[in-house]
Amino acid sequence: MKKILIVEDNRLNLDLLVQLLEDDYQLATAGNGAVAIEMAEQEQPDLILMDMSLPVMDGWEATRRIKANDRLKHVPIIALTAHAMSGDEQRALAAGCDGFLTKPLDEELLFEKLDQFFG
Amino acid sequence: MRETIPPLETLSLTRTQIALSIGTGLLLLLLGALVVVGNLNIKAANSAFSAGYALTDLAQIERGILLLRIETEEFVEYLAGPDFRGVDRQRALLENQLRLAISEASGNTRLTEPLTDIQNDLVEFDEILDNLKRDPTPGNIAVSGLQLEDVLNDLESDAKFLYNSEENRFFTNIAAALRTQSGYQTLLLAMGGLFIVFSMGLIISLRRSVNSELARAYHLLEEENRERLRLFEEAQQARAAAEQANHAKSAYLASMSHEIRTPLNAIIGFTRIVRRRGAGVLPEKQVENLDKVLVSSEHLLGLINTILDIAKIESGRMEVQPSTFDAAKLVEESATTVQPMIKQGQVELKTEIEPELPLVFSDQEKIRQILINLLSNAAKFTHQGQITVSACHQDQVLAISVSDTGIGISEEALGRIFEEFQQANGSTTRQEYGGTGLGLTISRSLAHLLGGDITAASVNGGGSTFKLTVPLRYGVGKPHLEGGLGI
Repeated sequence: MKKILIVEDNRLNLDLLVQLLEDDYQLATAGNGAVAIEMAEQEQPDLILMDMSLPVMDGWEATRRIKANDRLKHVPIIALTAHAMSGDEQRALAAGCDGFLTKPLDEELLFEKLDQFFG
Repeated sequence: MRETIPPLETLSLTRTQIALSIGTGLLLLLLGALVVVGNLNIKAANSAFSAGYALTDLAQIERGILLLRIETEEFVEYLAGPDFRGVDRQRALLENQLRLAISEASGNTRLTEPLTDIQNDLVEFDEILDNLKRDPTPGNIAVSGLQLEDVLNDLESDAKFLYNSEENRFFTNIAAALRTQSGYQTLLLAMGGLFIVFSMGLIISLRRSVNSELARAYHLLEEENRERLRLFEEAQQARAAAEQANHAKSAYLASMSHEIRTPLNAIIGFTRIVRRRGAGVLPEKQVENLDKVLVSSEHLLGLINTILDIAKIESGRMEVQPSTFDAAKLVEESATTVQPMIKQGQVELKTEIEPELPLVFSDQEKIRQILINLLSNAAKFTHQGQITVSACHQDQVLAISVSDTGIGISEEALGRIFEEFQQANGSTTRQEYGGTGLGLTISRSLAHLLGGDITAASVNGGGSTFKLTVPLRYGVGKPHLEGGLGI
């Protein structure tokens, strides 16, 4: 079973993602970017779902650091953000994200994206 | 501002100065008389007399040229537009002074020739000025201003040279006359000398007045300059404040978008989970209720997206990203996208595309957004018959029409369907057919953004036709300027 690290500070939205994914994936969670990097080191996930607006360290910075880390940079990161205005996708991709999904989340698009990364 | 500069005619000679000038002439005449009585070197004294006399004229001309320069520079510097009055007035004054000087110097080629040169320079000045009057645009004013300055420089140095050489003659000839004096003439000469010194003093004061007028005019111009600089800085500050306000508006929109989407994510997400897992468990009625939550949420999301789009167009931050694309393919793709919305079996969707349709250079995604809006409106309001989307081009304009055999729009409603939150029959239509009432508003705004427009024609009950026109090449042709949405 593939392991996904969910980085999300909003409890309701974290709960939603957990309910959507818990049947098919092994899950780890983090509530901010700094914890996300720690968890990624520790859990070595197969993929990270990254919210962008986060306390302590935001998703853009966490993504940049993960992509600069030799042990983690191979892990695909999908940005999952309510920043859905023009330019937000480019901004996420520029930080090093490998995919971009907006909230409100279209669950079919999410499953499609996951299938795409897990082949 | 401008009224702090008095018209230059008030800077011209005062009565006292004129009286002094006449006095100078009279004194020089007296000198001439003394020379005759005293039987001095007549030839040298005559020359001195005429040189002294010419000096007054030359000082006037020099001064006239300076004043013309001040008027011209003021005109050029402040781009006074088609107001040539100051320059014309000064030009006419100088012309008179010059004519007077030439007629007084008649026969004296030493003076008339350089004076004619000055007149020729003025002909050149007039030609440039005429050209400027025909085309008083800032660009031309800048170019012609430099040419006028060159001519004025020539004029100024000619006049100065003439004055200086005449001044030299005057003193040389006086000296020559003095050298040939006989003993008893000394007293008369001393008197004449005093008069000469006095006369020269007057001429010098006349020249000084030119310099002080020039200094005063420069001072006034400088003051005006400072005032303009102050206004410019004020305008800069206002602009910076407006930019800051616009930036704040953008930041507000971005955070509003983010803040609304976050709870909506939970609402839609959990409802879908309950809807999916509840099917077969929950009573049918409750599943239907969940569907209503989902439809309303999607509606709310659509509304937020649209309002953000409109706000972006309003604040000029909606960017056009033009590329070259095949409009025929775009029309086919859009038709395919809305196909599922069409009432199957009762409505037929047809495309009619001109075979010779050229490639289009515009913002493909914005045209797609407009087309899908028009097509989904047609699909929504057409219960039987057909929807036809046709594309053709004429005179560098791409025209795409969407015609349907739907419920149509009354003439009265046709006038306001492009206004925000308006559907033809108000709330009843909205309840029956859904939609935000913003689709056409944004479509029309997008069309305007691309330099085009959307028009509507309809017969109540007899179907509608919406026609999108955009330039084949974005940025070429007449842009549509009545963009605003009035929000």
